[in-house]
This record gives sequence, C-alpha cells and structure tokens, in this order.
Amino acid sequence: MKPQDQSRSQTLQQLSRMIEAVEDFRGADSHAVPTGWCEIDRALGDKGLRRDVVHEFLGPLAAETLGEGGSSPPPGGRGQADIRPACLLSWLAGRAATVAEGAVVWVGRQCWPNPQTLARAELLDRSLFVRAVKGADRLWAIELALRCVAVAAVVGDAEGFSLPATRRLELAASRQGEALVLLSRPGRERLLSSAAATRWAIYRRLGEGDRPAWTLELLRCKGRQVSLGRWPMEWDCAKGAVIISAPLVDRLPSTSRQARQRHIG
Amino acid sequence: MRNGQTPAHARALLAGRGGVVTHQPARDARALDALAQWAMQFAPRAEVDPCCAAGEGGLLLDITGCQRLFGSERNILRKVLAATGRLGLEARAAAAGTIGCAWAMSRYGEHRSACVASGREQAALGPLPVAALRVDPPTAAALAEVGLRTVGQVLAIPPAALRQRFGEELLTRIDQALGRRWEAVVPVDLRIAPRATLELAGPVRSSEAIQLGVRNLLKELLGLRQLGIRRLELTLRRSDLDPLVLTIPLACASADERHLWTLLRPALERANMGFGVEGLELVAADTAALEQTQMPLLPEVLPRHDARRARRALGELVDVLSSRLGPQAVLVRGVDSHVPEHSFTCQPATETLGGRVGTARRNSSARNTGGMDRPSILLDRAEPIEITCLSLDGPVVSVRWNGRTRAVRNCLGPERIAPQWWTRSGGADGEQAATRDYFKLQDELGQWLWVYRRLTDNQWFLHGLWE
Repeated sequence: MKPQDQSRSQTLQQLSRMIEAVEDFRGADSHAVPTGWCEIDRALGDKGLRRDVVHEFLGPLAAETLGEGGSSPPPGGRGQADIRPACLLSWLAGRAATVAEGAVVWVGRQCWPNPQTLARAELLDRSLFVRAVKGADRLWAIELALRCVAVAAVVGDAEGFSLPATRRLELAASRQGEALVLLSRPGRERLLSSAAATRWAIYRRLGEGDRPAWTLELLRCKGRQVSLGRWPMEWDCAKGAVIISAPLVDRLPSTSRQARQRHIG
Repeated sequence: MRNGQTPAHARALLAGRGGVVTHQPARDARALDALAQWAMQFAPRAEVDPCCAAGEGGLLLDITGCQRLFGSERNILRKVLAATGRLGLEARAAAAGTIGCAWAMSRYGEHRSACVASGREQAALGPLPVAALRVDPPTAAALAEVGLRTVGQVLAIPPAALRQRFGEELLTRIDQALGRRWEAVVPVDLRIAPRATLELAGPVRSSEAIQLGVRNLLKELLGLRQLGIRRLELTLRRSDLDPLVLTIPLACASADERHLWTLLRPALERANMGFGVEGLELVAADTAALEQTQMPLLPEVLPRHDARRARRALGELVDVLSSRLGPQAVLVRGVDSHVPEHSFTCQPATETLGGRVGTARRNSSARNTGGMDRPSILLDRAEPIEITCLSLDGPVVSVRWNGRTRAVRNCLGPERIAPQWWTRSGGADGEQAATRDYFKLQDELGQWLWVYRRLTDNQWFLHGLWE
C-alpha cells in the first residue's frame, strides 16, 4: 500500500473508534451480568444484561397477543393482571448474585416469588423483602436499594410508574452502576412509554412435555442496533433453571431450513 | 408434688389444671442479673448468689455502712422484702455479720427475715441443718452417715478430726460462716445508658431550633463513649402535653452521626410539638461494641467489595427503609416444614440482620423442598375454584377460575400433604388441619396451576402458579 493510503486507513480507523466511543452510551468499563442464555447475550451485544441501566419486563401475557405489537390491551380477569414472571426474575437475580457479592432486594409484594424457589437457588439467605404499596414508596425504595453498595440485584414492582419515574431510576442507575435493576410491570402497561434501556415482553405458550414455557421478546434496546427477536424459554424443574428451548427437528435427511425454523418460537 | 418427679407424674397429679414449662437457666441468669442491678438501690455492692441450686435464685448485698441511711438493719430487710413483694417475687432475707451466716439464716432460718448480731453467729447457726454450711451434697451425706445432722453438732467436733474425714473444704466453710476467714461480695457492674440532656429556657416551637438542639445532643452523645448505638430514644418534654418519646431502632450498631441524623430527622419533623418543647433528652437505650476499623490512607484504593463496608451499608439501607415504611422491610427465614404455607416466616430485618444477609451461606433451607417441584408463585390465601374431573383421584378435565373455564391438557399428581400431627390443630379456619391432595395442571393456554383438593369436604383450591 502507498504510504498516504496507509496513513489514511489509520486515520479512518482512529475516527471510527472515536465515533464508536461517542455513540456508545455506556462507559468504558461496563459490567454486564451474563444471563446464561447464549443467544440472548449475543443479541444484546454486551455479553449480558448491563448493570448501569434499568431492564423492564412486561407480562406474562397471553399467547394470542403475540405479534400484535401493542395495538390492543390483553384481556384478562382481575387475578391475571397481578401475576408476575417470578421464575424469570428469580433466575436473573440468581445470575446477578453469582457474579457479585451482595443482597437481593425485592420491592413490592407482587413480585415476591415463592421462598422455596429462592431456597432452591440459594438466594433466600441473601434476600431482603420490602413491603411497599404506594407507587411513590416503591419508587423511593428501588432507588435507595440500587444506590446501596451492598446490593447485587434489585427486583421491583413498577406498576403505574410514569415516564419521569423510570427516567429517575435510569439516571440513578447510570450514576451508580452497582446493582442489576429489574422492573416488573403488568402486561397491560405495554402501551405506556418508559425510559428503561431494555424492554422485554413475556408470553405464555404451550410447551413440549410437562414444563412451563414462555416466549421472551425483546421489545427495545436503547443505544444499540440489536436484532429484536423472540426466544422460546422453558423452566427446567430438575435443574431449577430457565433455559432456551431446544428446537425440535425431524431426524430426516432432507430436512429443509424452513421446516426447522417453523419449530422455533 | 416434689422435686425430682417426672413431668408425666406431675401432670397426672394436676389433672389438667396446670402446664409444664421448660426451665431456661440462661433466662433466669439474665433476670437475676437485672434484679442485682435493681437491688443496688439498697446497697452499693450486689452480687448474684453463686451457691444456688438449679431453680433457686438469690442475691448477696453488702450493706456495710448503710444502716445510717435506712435507720437500722431491720429496716433494710423490711424494705427489701416489701420491694420484692411489689415485684411479685416471694423472698426470704437475713442480715448477719458474715456471708455464710446470712446465707444459712435466710434459707434455713425459722422466720422469713432474721437479723443476727455480730458475735452471735455460732448460736444462730447451731440448730440449722448441715446443708446450711454451703457444703456439697456428698459431704452432707457423709456427715449424716456419721450422725452429724446439725451445725452445732459439727462445731462440737475438733477441727483435726473433721479435716481428716471430710477434707479442707468443710473447715473453710465453717471458718467463713463464723467470720474467721475473710469472704467478700464480688459486685456486678452498674450499667447506665449514656445520655445527653438539654434544658431550654422556655417553650420552644421553632423546628429549626429544636433540630439544632438535637444535632448538638447527638454529637455530645457520640462523644461520650466508644460504643455503637442499637436503639436511640429521644424524649421531648412538652409544656402542655405528655412527654413524647421517639424510638429509633437500628439494624447494625452504628456510631455514624450522618446516618443517625438521617433517621432522627423525619421522626422529628413528624412529631407534634404542642405548645412548645422545654427539654430534650437523648438516650442510647441499647448499645453494642463497634467493629474497629482502620481509616485507610487512600480511600480510592479500597477493594471493590469490602465485607464490613457492605454490612454497614446494608444495615443503613434497612434502617432508612424501616424508618419510612415502618418495620416492614422483612427478612424471610426458612422453616423446616413440609406444609407449603408454613415453610417460611417473616421477620423484621431490624432484628435479625446481624451480618446474615449478603453472604451466601449453605444451610438447611435448601433441603425443605426435598426435590419436589414447587410453584414459583405461592398465593397468600388459596383461592376456591371449580373443577370437573373424572373421579376424585383421577385426571382433571376442566378448571374454572376467576370466572373463566379452561380445559386442562395435562394433569400430574396427586401428591398428598398431611398436616403436622404433632402440633395442636387450632388453625383459624381449620385449613391447616386438613389433609390435601395436590395436582399440577396445565391448561389449554399453557399456564401451569397448583391446585389441591381438601379431603374433609372435597373442595378445590388454587394455591400456586408456575410463572
């Protein structure tokens, strides 16, 4: 290569690195919590869920609302709206607890899982349960918990949080960056806008065998160009873990790519 | 009823009228310690009696020089017995020149209170049994074998013969009782809670002034002693109302002024000052030793996770949460029980923190499940549902919950959970006392439910979900 081409390519590389650093809204050293699901970690591009942002989980919603994109609120009786994805949240909190030392704080009665599930994941001794009913109290408690040095994960009930409320949490998380912040909202608040960096929706689906199964959909990931996708998940009772369902394939030699993809999701 | 009977025999004699309570020596020791502190109003030195049998308790008070305050020794005895009577305790007391003589007269004397003048110990001890000399039971039995049953008989024997047969200890006790050998009371330490007070010239209503006063008291209190505070009590003496006491409990002992002020300030703002406050008093009601930490030279190079700093931070988080939300930040503890709703208890974190949370600890709570699959959401109260099934133990066909009927695709079970037969079945609604058959159902939408059938009346309930 000619010398001016070399220097030009070097300059271009330098420029692209500078632009990446500016576009990249996270700091140079970001600590991400690996979720244990390789495909999702790869899709997020950060090797997991970042600790200095807020992650929001909506649901669980009924399967027929999948693909509607939030055009209509999901139907459901009174009892359905109060259920939160406890399996998923306790799995993610467990992942955060293995990466960092500290307590797991559960704010809001709605998102407290069964203590036996936590005991199985050996999280019960490290859990602090906060009973706060009013939205303002819950917001204050979540913010206080995520600012504490000794907390590894905060799981909060974000029902009825407005946009300024989620923005306040996002600011606090970006300043602190210590704990993994997971918010749980009922499915009907899918239409509300939120300042959380990542938004996920969980849909129930019929699983193969006798395992509870869901579809996890990434609705939004701020600041990065990620491919929004859907992944089938299920609860492995024997291991006590949430895993991505293995796709079922026909063991025929002439299996086409389309037939394989039809089984996924 | 006598000492040494078995509980079953005693209960049979009582014929169901009384109850059996386990003896807790640690609790008795603590109560006696508190009683010794209380008894210091009668004497400067008080001690818990070390020579008591199990189930008995006693105090030794050194009243040297106190006769001038109370008038006479008989007065002191009368006041002590009256005060213990007001506390609800039945007591016997005696005053004498030596500890041994007083001990003997109070336990084995004829009257409830006895006073022995100095020099008269031998005469007073004469008719008492040998156990009054504080000898151990084998020596007392050996003396009884030889025919020596009273102290007077023992004193009549020459000391050389006693030493030969029964050892040196008996002679020591005799000398102590008669005053020939010196014995003293080992006093307990008087515990005074550190306190700081501020008297105001007149009733003050301005909240800034009161807050400034409380902050100064806090600085003064923390400077008194190097102890961590576990409970703070602020008393506001109001001019027209009763004194207001604000109590701040803390999860971990803390001497951090900033943190204590963060907890005191909201309580102070909510307090009603009435017409005005005339005096402030800050007392550290409960204290504990602080962990000694060294100030680092360069704070930035601390390791990312410092266990002590983490514990303190968590304690402060619990304190601040509890101060606004009430003692509601709860810590759930596992209890070894197979009945699902009784397998855990809630406790306020301010009482049980002590360094437990934040460290991964392997303990028995993991084996509660016994490998059984339990739902991830457990409802507080089981909801009644309607079930259609082929037979009572058989597969379930459809379930009706919250007004919607759904067909059941999968049914696993039954699993029988029986109540704890060893506890009294006094449940509020008899729910706990019923045996249940649990089923795991999957409905047509893919949701898994944990339902049970109560065997007493064949009613079905929903207890949990897998979400």
